[in-house]
Amino acid sequence: MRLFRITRSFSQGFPSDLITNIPTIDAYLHTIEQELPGRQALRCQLLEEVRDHLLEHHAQLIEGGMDSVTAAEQVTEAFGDPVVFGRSRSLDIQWRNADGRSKRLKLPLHDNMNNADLFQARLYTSLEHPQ
Amino acid sequence: MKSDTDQILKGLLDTLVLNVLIRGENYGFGIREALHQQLGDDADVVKEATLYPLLHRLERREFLISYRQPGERGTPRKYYKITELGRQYLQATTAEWRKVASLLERTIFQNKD
Repeated sequence: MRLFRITRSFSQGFPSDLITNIPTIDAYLHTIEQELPGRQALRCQLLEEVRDHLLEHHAQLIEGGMDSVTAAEQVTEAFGDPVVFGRSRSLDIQWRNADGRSKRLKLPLHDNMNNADLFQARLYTSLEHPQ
Repeated sequence: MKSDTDQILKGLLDTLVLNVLIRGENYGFGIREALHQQLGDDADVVKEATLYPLLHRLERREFLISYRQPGERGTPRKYYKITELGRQYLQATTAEWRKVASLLERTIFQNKD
């Protein structure tokens, strides 16, 4: 039994702003999310990146003439086992949790920050943007 | 034999990814596409399950920094940019690989059969 599953049962479900409305991809992201420990904001950051990759690959296959359902199956298969991927990412989440903030951004992350808050904060933090 | 080639290429992946990023910042899928173009028939070695842990590891080692800005769909996209430390590491590993290539040229590749 992984301990974070106990606290997870009291928290919100899968973040609605990460839903793609492509059932295979949503189910895949949900499976990864179930394996990730740590704060929701941090889990969202990782899931956002995976979602972006899957949608990008999905769009590329559709552009090549594939139907949406087959494309979704193919991109999730290419990404590999979601349980294995989720568990392998635990280390990254723990690294970010170590001092209670994102190391490179000096940006405090709170459990009650939603994705939009996080994204806005990240967009406009001068420490964040490399330019 | 294919798995032996995979092992060698996996050892090269850190260098290959940094080499893509030295040409400009890029995001996960963009890096994968660039690597696929460069690797051609050997592209299978760059699996997504390998690429993201590798990017995150390079970020932890401070060879890369990341930032988010909206992608083409308007949703947040995570971009990676090579740091000065990353450039130095790439330079050092490239020199190491050159040594290996030179050694192979002077030895095994000299064999006629």
